[in-house]
Order: sequence, then structure tokens, then C-alpha cells
Amino acid sequence: MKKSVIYLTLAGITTFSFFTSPLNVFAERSKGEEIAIRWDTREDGDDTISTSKFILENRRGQQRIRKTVRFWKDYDGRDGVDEKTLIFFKSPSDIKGTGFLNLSYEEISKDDDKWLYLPALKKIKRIASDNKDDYFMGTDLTFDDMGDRKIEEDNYKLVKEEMLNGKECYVLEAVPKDKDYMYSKRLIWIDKKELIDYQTLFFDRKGRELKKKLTEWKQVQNIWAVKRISVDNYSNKHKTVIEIDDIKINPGLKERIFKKNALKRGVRR
Amino acid sequence: MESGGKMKIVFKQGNLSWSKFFVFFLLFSAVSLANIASAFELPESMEFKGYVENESAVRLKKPVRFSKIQNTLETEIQYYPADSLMIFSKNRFIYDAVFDVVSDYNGEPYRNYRLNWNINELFPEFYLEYAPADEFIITAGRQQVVWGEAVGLKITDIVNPTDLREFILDDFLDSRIGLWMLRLTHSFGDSTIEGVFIPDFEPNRQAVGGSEWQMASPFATGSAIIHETERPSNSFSNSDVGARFNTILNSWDLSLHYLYSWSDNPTFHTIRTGNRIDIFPRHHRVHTTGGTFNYAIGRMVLSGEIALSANTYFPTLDPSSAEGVKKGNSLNYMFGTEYILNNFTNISLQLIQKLILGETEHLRDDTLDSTLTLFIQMDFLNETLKPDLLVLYGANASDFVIRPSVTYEINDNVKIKTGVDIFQGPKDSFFGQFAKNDRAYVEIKRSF
Repeated sequence: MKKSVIYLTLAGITTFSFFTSPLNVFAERSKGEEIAIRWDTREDGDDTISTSKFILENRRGQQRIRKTVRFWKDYDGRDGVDEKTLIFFKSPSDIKGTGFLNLSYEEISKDDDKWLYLPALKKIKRIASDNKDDYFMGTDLTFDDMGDRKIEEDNYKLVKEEMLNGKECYVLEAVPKDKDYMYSKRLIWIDKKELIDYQTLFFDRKGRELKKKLTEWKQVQNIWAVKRISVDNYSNKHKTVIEIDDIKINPGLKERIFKKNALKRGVRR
Repeated sequence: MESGGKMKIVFKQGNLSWSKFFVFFLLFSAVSLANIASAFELPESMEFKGYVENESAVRLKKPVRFSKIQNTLETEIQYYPADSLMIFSKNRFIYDAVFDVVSDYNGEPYRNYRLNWNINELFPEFYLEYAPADEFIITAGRQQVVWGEAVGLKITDIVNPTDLREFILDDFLDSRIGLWMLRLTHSFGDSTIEGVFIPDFEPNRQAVGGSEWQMASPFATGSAIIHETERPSNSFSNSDVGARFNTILNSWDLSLHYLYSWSDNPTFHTIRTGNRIDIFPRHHRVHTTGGTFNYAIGRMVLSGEIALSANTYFPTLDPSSAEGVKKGNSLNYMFGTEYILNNFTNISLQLIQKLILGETEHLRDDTLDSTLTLFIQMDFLNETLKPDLLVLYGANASDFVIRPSVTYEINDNVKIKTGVDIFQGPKDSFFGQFAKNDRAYVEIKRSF
């Protein structure tokens, strides 16, 4: 047999083995990203209204309660906009009427536009756009954790598949492309069939487990909607529980409520 | 009587009974309202909230004594008789016990500081809001209109006058005086246009003579006779009118405004006849045109505002001036930046300047007056503990006020704040005039 044929055959076998081997990093990373994209683009409605109760509990078991109403609309890239979120605080009375508006854009390099209405000042305050690692209103969730983070900001890899709470799950590892980001990585357990996440572990820059987030879901109008989130923050022994109820999917929200001038007036349901 | 550095409170027996009554009344009302609010499910058409608060301050320099023991009960009701209609009422009852407890604060000048029986102060805001269409709102009644971006001082926040009984130390929401006005707002896309018509005239309320925060008189004492202030009469033609346009362009938040109003402070027209000095305080019409901007870049927000005031008056030492004042124009502006340093610290810096335009020889005020501000806000323990620091520095006279404070949320409804206000500078400067008024304070607030 000619040497060239032998070399070509060996090269072909090697290449075939590489792409089918369990150690094939490229195939698994591609699968991880593919799963992440399917998870991110899962059907969640065009717009939603929901009321939530935030329970913030410190290490001594003392609780603070916040109630909010949240409006969200998916723009699907129309006019360069990804989505808009408007949150009003209904209680406690000291922060009642406080409103937060976030406009998120398709283009990853374009920062979000954010405003906060403070009834105590009767002013709408512009907030810095790059506050993704800031904690939201005293909770254990950052703005990014609340859903601001874009899929393109992390590298995704499928680490393993395992059962969690009786469900078959993918376990994805998300490593931020920005090495200065507050987390070194996240591990996310995603239901293989429904593509909803049940558990997320957050690791700090030194690789220590910082927080655990558990998410419960319910079906509303045949669409999976978050029912409950609990976050345990190990660094300060603080816990946040968010109970979401009265969620309406596709109520047909008007564009005008996602305007800065709607913050002062509030939105009556 | 107070002596040296010791604080000795002289109790006035009769007034102490009244003070006990008022404090008890406030606490009882607050607890009752809180219980009523929680026991009854309010109809969906009504929203109710309020708070009771005690703010007490002690002077740190002689004479060391309480300078404030203010008890406030405030309620806010929003009632929606129809989807497009809202009636808003803010009610505030204030009793400052310092005027019953400290013997130095005696008499008629403090009557309105002890108890706010004035109807306008009992109802600082009361208005009807009607929205015949989603984008169109008509608001009529006593209200506050807030324009502007600056922290600590006002540049374009000029629609409402200010109660200066506590100098600039009180929260602007509490010191801004509501005015009876008609406001029309029209929103379209990312823009809003707002018009105000204000038939109600009220000037800034200066601190009464002899009170803690009475501002230094620009006149030498002695033979000056200050006549009654000439105020505009209540008439249609004496109303203030203004408009503001606000929009967002490529993530720039921009606004332009114009206000035709009466000056909040009177001009002191001075006539000298031999050794006699007659002072005639008079309010004048002012045109104010200006704008604001803000823009967010990364972890920073840039902001600015500018206001050109035309037809204003400045005191002058020009011997040829008949009344010791000169008419002219001035430009007030602010440039600032707010930066998120880390998860728990925000820093804000501002440069604020006032430039008198045109010929400025002989004017008593500096042609260019500059103030720098620094505001650091921190939060810890999941935003339950919030220390902050505000510094206002007058560059012309090197005078300043430093205001560190800490707020702690005991629970969802109870908050405690403590801090100090320290003044330094020459006696005739804006902050330095209160160099002997340094104070420490505690505020306890219970919301419901």
C-alpha cells in the first residue's frame, strides 16, 4: 500500500475519532452553547404583568418584605431593542411608588438605559448603565441575575447530565468572557425537555461557591413562568425569596407604559 | 438659662403640658392611623400611606442646647373616583417642642414654627389630576413641580419657592413650598411637554429674626429702616407661566425650559438721605431660560444644567446708582458626574457656578461664584445600613458645610438616622455665617 494512502487513512481515523470521542471538547462546547441558546430563546410570551413578594432574610432570621408589580415586554430586536422592564414597588410604604425602568438593546456593545423614580425626591434619576453586578434593592440578586445578562457574555459548556428533583437535566457551565466579572463561573441545571432552569450555583472570583439559586415553575397559558425563586448567599448568610403570583402572559401591554414619563405617574392595574 | 458648655433646659410648666399633649396626640394619631390602615382593606380606588417622625438636633457650640425637637405626622391619600381621575392630598402636622422646652425660643416670631396651623402648611399638596387620554394629563391644585438634576443646591429647580427656616439643610421635598397652579402635560413617544400656569405668589420664606438659621443681613445695623416688602398683587397678569420640554435622543436625556416668574427673593432698593437709609424690598419679574442633560456611560452618569436669568437685580456700590441696585443677567450652571465605585459605594461630584453677565464693576457680589459638591453614598447589610457624606464647598470664600450621616433600617417601617452638620468659613460667607451653628441630630421615622 502506498505510504500516502496509509497516512490519509490514519488522518481520517484520527479525525473521525476526535469528533466522536467523549473527550471531544469542541463537540461538547458547541452542544453547551446550543443548549444555552435554546434555553435563552424558550417561549416566554410577548409581554407579562406579574406581582411579586420579596422576602429578605438576614442571618438572625429577621425579615423585610417588599411587594412589586412588574411589566415586561419582548421587542425581539425591533428598532434595536431587546426588551423593556418596568417595576414598581407597592410596599413597604417608605418606598411605595418607587419605579425602575430598564431598556435593554440587541446590540451587546450598547449599554442598557435605566432610570429610577424616587418619590422622596420627586425626581427621576438616571442610573449608570454598567451596574450589572450591583445588587437589586437590597436583595441577593444582581441586575444580571434578574435577567439582564445576555447569552453572548458567557462561554457555555455542557459539563454533565444528571437527575435533579426527578427531572433529567443538562448541567451547563457558564464562564464570563470578561475576566473581571464578579463571578468566575455559574453552574446551571436545565430541564432537558422543558429547557427551564431549576438550580444555579454562583462561584466568586476565587472559585468559592458564593450563592445558590433555586427556581420553581408553573404553567400559565401553556407557557412556563417562574413561580418562586430562592437565593442563599453564603458570604453574608442572607437569603432572598421571591414569590411570584398573579402572572398574566400576553396581556397586550401598551408601549406608552415603558416610557420614562410613566415612572412618575405610576401604572394602575 | 444655659451656661458655658452645659445644657440646662428650663422647663416652662404651662407649655410643657401643651407639649406633652401634642406629642401624645401625634403618637396616638400615628398609631391609630397605622392600625386602621392595616386593619381595613382599603378599596382599590384608594391608596393611603404616612409616617410619624421625630427630628431632634442639638447645637455643638455655645450655647449648647436643643435647636429642634420637631414632631411630624404626615399622611398621603390618593383617591381614584374614576380611572382617569385622581385626587391627591398630602397633609402635614408639625409640632416643634423646642419652642416650649428651651427658654431662649420665646414669643410671637416662633408661633408659626412651633405649630404649623397655617392651612397652606397643613396641606402642602392638594390637587386633582385628570387624564382625558393616556398621553394628556391636567393637574390643578396645590403642588410641587421639580425640574433639575443638581444635588444639594437648586439651579433649574425654580418653579416652587423654598422654606428656609432651616437654611438648606431640610429635605427639598419638605422645604419646597407648594403653589396653587394648573399644569398640563402631553407625552408623545419619548418626549414630554409640560406647561405651568401659577396664579399664586409666594416668596422664599426666610428664617425669622432671632431664629437658629436667620441669614446674615446684607445691611449694616443701625439706621437702616426696612419698609414692608412690595409683593405682586393677586391678579391674572401677575401669574407665573412656564413650559418644559423633555426628550431622549440616542440615550441622551435632554430638557429645555422657560419660566416667566416673580423673583423668589426681594431686591433691596436702598435710598440714602444723609445718615438715613430706607430700604424698600421689592419683587421683580424674571425670565429664566435653561436646560438639563444627562447621559450614562458604563459605570458613570454625566449630568448638567444651565439657567439664564434675565432682568435680575444685583446690589451695587456704584455711587451713581440711585437705589443701590443694578439690573442685569446671570448664568447659573452645573456639571456633574456620578460614578459607581463598587457594589456598595456611589460617588457624585458637581461644579456649580453663577456668572454675572455684562458690566460688573462696583457690584457687591463676585462676578463668578463657584461651589463644589461631593456626595458619597454607601450601603451595607443588604441596604439596611446607609452611611453617606455630603460636602458643599464655596470656592470664593473657602467656606463649606460637611454633612455626614448614617441611616439604619430597623425594620420595614422604622428607620433611624443620625448625623452632624459642620460649618466653616468667614462670617460673611454663605456657609461660614453659620459657623457657630454646628449641630448633631437624630431622626426616627415610623412609616405606615
